[in-house]
Amino acid sequence: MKFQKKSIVASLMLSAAIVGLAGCSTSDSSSKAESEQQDVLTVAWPRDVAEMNPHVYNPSQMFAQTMVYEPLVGYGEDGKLVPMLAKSWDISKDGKTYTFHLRSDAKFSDGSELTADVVKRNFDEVLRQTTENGTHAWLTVLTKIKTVNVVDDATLKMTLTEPYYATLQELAVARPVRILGDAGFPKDDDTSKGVKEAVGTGPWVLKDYKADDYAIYERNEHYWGTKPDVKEIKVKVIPDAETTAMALEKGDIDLIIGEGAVSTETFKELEKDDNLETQISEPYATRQLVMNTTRETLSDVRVREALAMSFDKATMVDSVTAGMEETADHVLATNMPYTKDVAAQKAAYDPKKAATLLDEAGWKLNASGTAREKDGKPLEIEMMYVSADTIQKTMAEAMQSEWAAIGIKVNLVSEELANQVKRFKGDDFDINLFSNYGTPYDPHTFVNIVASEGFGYHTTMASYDKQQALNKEIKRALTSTDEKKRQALYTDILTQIQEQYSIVPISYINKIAVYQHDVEGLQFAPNRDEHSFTGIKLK
Amino acid sequence: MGVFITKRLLAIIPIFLLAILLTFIMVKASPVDPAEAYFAATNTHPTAQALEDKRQEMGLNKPIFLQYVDTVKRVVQLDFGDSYMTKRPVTEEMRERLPITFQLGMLSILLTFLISVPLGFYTALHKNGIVDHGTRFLAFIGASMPAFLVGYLLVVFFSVKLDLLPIEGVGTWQHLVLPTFTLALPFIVQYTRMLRANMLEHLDEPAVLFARTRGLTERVIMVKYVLRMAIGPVITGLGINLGTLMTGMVIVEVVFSIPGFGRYFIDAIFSRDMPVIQGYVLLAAILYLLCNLVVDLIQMYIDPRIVKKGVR
Repeated sequence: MKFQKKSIVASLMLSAAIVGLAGCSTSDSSSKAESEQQDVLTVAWPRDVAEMNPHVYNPSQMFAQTMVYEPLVGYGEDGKLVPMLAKSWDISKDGKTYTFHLRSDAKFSDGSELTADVVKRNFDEVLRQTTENGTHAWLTVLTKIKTVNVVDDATLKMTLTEPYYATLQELAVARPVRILGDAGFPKDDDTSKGVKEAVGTGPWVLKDYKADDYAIYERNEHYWGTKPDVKEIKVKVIPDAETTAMALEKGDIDLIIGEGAVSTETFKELEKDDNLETQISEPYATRQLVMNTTRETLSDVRVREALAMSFDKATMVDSVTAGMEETADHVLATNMPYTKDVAAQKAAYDPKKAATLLDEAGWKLNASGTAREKDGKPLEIEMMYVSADTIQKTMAEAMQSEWAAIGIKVNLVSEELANQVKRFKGDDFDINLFSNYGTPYDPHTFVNIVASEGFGYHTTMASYDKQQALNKEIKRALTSTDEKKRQALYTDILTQIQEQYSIVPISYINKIAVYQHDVEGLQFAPNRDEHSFTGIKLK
Repeated sequence: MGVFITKRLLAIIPIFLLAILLTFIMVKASPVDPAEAYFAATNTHPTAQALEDKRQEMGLNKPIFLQYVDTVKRVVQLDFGDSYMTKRPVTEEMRERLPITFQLGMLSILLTFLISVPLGFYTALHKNGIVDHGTRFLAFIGASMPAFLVGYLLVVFFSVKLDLLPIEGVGTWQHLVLPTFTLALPFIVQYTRMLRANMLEHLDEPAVLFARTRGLTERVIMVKYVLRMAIGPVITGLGINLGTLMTGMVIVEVVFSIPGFGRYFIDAIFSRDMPVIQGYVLLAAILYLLCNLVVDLIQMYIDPRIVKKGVR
């Protein structure tokens, strides 16, 4: 039967054609990639960078916004403030007036000058959005600014309604207080609806962009600082972490960077690859157990202390994160400002002592010997974590089983991130597996939300007999103008918070980077929301 | 024929209205407050006043019936509103992402036919031969392995080890090879087996027997009679499986980093971008209806008996 043979031949030809066409195509594509390689750094990122607008949030990616736009003041190593668009600044004695002296050599990417007028235009717009609909009210300094005035072309004066020491730290954040050039403003100046042109003073300029696919940034030839060695940065959007890892192994990508950019298992695999380099950053924030002490079960500090010491933290962190994260004994990592004098939280792994503490607190083992009760009520606690975060999930399960061993029943509830935050804001939780904001927001943001209602953190101090005094101390620390006093206040505040055992540090969140051998000079930016590409050289 | 098509096209209208009603109910029944979702999608914290203003603007304070009328008015003009995240019209964003997804879908359907028709045909004629056993084995694998795993394996083999094809992204036709195959694999194995079974079934039909007695060549019998009768259910199956194709697309677009429609939808779900979700569901409904119409037309072409039934 002739036709049968024909059909076989046809299908064979088809498959041969597919393989063959595929084969002949690759030679030219790889050679093209090689020639580009010299000047272009290809970075993988899981999400589209979205609009390059310094005054908006999601879905715009912070690291990309900070490549293009710069603040007046930057956040440097160990929280040291560094000059950016302001080459220097003076703070009045009462802490209410800030005078910024702008850099004379800074230009926007369209060649226009940086003037006090354009900086004021940015502040005016951001403040308008803050007062009109509260968009930026989360950034405390924006609720305290009274006036922003131009003194002369290169001097800007800002007055506050009350002293707030973290003013400069908050001006260093990724958004929304970074400076857009005049050409970027729309007709009515309302940047919440979009910018006309992405004109900034940063080292990079957006050159080409395709939604959900890639964004190409080229070196800003007007950049005032040390110009980057690399000509272009291509941000390739790859949503899947496994695909990213394979693209890196193949050499399509030069660099993966970020928090949890690949899974812990994949990171271990990539570490073994001789063609790749890996780096782990210093801590940026702390994973914490946040306990709601308005709950009867958690109102007794002995119960909380027992919870803290009845799981083997070091082993758990090491095995769950495969050594990627470091065990934390400080509520705030000690590389943050004002934290260096705080002693570690004392909660060495000791299930026996934990059991004694629970007995003392009145939570006794019941007749069956597996669960604890007090006045007929069982010791039962709910713990919330983010469903999509596998590290959180595994940690939660490990702790749950260790707590069960000493008779504490913990029910795990996984929530979507949006729901977790919603419940946390509404104080609707027992224990929440959460983390602080990290650099450059802490310690001031952290202590501030511990002292104020509206976010679940304030419930951690609800059962503390000195809560009122603590809140006053926090207020004093935030408004103090004396560096030494502030340091002493912080030490005292953080020590008190740690001794309540209602916030138990678990591990430090950091960033990882995996890259090709020819990538040199990679350093992690001190600001959690930034990536620094300026120092990178390609061999 | 013309009457049939007109009838079917007209039938789309009530079904589409029903789809609008269903998505409207879905949005209203979900615990998410659209005004809250609007701000949450961009990670901003509004004041109570701003939230209330947004509700007013979105018409959430109007009676529910009027809200529905507004929705219908907008949607029939294919206006799904602006995305909460990007603030751009959903239709515009969809238009940017549809071509690549459509291309991928069409290619995988084409690939499915190109492989499963000859293969099903051949294995039916050579029942229990080596090729038949081979496809049976492949069918097990194809039916039991999830698409993302197939995708990863293909990438590891063809891109990382052999370095023949790009791992991810779009741009050249080479970028489409692995995603298309990943997407098509479950259909290929399914339809190969289906076609084989159908052909074997139709071999004993009186029409085939009659054709043989008329002395027609085996080739004519097989192609004009058996294959023609056996291929019907395969085409119907493709129409029904459009849903599977669309969900498969989501996975393939994520694994191969294709900036298409499926990924756009997934992102929208995670950020509760209601206008996008609503737009996707409605567009999927339209697509489903149109595809089934096309499938029916092809069926009629192959088997004219259907026309009579349909027109009646």
